[in-house]
Amino acid sequence: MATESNKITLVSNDGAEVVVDRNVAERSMLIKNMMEDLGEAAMTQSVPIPNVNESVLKKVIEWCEHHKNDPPAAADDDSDSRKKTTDIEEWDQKFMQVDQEMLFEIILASNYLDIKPLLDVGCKTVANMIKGKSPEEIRKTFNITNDFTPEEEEQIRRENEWAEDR
Amino acid sequence: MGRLAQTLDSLRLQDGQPDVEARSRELDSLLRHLTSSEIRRLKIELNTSSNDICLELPLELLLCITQHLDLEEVVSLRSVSRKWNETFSSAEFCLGIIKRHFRPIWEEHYNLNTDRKLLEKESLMKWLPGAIRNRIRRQHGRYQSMSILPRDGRMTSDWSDWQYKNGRIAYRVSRSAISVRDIRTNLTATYMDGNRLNLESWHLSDEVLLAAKKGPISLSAWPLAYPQTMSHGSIRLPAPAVRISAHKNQVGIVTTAHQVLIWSIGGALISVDTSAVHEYLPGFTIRQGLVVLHPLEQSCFYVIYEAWPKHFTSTNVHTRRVVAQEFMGGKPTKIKLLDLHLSRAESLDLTGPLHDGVVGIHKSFQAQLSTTSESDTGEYQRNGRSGQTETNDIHPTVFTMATFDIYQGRFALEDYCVSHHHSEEFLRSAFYWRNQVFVPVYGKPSEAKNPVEQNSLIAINQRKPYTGRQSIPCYGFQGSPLHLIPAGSHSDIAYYWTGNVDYAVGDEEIDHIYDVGSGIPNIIQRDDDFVVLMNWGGWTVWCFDKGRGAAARSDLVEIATTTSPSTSYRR
Repeated sequence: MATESNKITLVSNDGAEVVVDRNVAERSMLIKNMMEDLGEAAMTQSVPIPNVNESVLKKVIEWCEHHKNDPPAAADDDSDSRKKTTDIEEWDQKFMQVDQEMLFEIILASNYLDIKPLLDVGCKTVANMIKGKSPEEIRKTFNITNDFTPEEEEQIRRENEWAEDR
Repeated sequence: MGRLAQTLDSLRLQDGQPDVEARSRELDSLLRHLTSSEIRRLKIELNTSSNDICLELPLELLLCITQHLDLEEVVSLRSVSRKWNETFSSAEFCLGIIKRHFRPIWEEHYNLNTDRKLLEKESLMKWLPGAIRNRIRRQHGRYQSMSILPRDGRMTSDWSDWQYKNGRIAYRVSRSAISVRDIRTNLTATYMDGNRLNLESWHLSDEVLLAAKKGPISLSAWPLAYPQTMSHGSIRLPAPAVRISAHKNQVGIVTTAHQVLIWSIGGALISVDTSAVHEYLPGFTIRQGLVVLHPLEQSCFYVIYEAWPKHFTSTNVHTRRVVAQEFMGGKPTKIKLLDLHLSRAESLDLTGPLHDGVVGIHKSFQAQLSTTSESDTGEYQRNGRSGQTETNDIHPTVFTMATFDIYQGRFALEDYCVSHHHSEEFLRSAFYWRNQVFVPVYGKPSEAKNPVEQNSLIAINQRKPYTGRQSIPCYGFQGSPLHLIPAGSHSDIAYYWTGNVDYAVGDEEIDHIYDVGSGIPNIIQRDDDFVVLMNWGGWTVWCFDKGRGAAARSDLVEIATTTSPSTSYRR
């Protein structure tokens, strides 16, 4: 059947099967290339995604589903040439309102699955959590303990002191 | 690997993947055998490692995140914790910083020299901290000295015909003469043709002054460095030059017929076949062109053309097509297109390269860029203009700079928030340089006592959406107290320089004095060492280079106070 033949089954590392439209899954360059390599066989057997667990995989697919009609990114898009602005579109902002663990899992998964636009949104989200913040505020945000001795802290402060007199 | 670890590792499924269930069963049974002190130790270990979720990301992903941060924000990450300091100071991470923020250095020292990479890496690590400090100080406007250079000679009608490059100011003194003033040595030399022919379009490069002449149609090059490293040269041209650019001894020429010529000073003139570009311009007419010579690869250059449609279809949208064609060894290679949809019939502002291989294409208010694999499209929409946001002024005007990056071979747009009072005059005066836009600011006319007192300059940082309402330090003349822009000012203003000792903003809302007077184009020029603002009587110069600044400072102060004409010699 036409509809069924357009579905593929992904298997997360904790053994969960996720059925998804082929064009949605192919937002992932990894899966896209895999499909091309496997040919017809890909439609009948399930595709293991060994580095991603079920909840993260489902989250990633939710993003792919929403963005399935986005125009493909330019082929020569290398990682450091993206626009520097940290604007994120509204839907993506809401999508990224998850706990930090999930956010970092999404970043790792999108990197592994090679979904550049999602990786970009994830990185921008983390960058926005850091932007405009003092080191103390960054520690609070990511729950990090300040393990510098007062001497070390003074040393680093002095190294980064460009605002003192000319 | 210990025996316990080996056991865990051996638990695998048939396809070689770890058997998650078997592992957790094994770990559960292990827990029952641990003593309380062992558990305590594990708890501490696990806590400290899982605490820092950011650093669990591989370095390449940390670089992906930090590329969205300013250089200053990146460096401040080192103050978070020991581990962060270690990670964000590592050589691998530093190379990422160099690639992102010091692109020409990366291209020159790291990207190209694969054999010497390791050696280079060591010297780059030594060079980087100082370079970062200087870059940030410059962005904060922490200049070494400020001075006013009066212009000698009488004022001509071409008074705004001037250029700045590499510590030198060149300006037209008459139809047939151009003077070049070296800010570092305070020497002025005047250049003219042996037969006193009128000098037409001209260009000041790092090393050479170039000027086109008519009858016979030709181009002359005068080397500026002393002792001279290259000879004076002259070449006949097939058509008058309208646009000249140069790098070292290579000169790029665009003629009145938009023909492109490349000349090695003292050598041959080569005509470049640009027919490949015309294939991308069906139904378009070329309006202007610019040659951009690659700073590192001598055989590489870009030809950038602006073209207008032969027939305008709509009255309110004016399409401009910009093509950037790369040439390697005289042969066309990559091409990039940018279609700009403007609301007015205005010409683009091709300038460059400005810094780090970036060419300025156009400045406008509020634009969007969409990219396809073949071409880019810039949609300009006017909004937030003066008068329209009277009651709701939360959204400041967004000033957009369209650029072309020759290292990355692509077009880009960068946004800057400016006060909502701005108009076309702002666009004409604004100068773009490395993530900052500079605009001259004039005090209230009633308060200005003389023209010099009026001249001041502010720098606006690239738009940062997270920046809320906050006080931003701005710096007045050396010795005067720090001025704060009160909360409520929407612009992200980096700093403020004044052209006069006594002139200060005080606690006034910056928006009140933020009024661009005359909208004169080409009023500001700069590089890493000097910032130059032209005014009626001469130039206000801010020096950023420590060594040069200290040496030049006494001279500069002298110029500012003396009325006698400066040393001048002719060739």
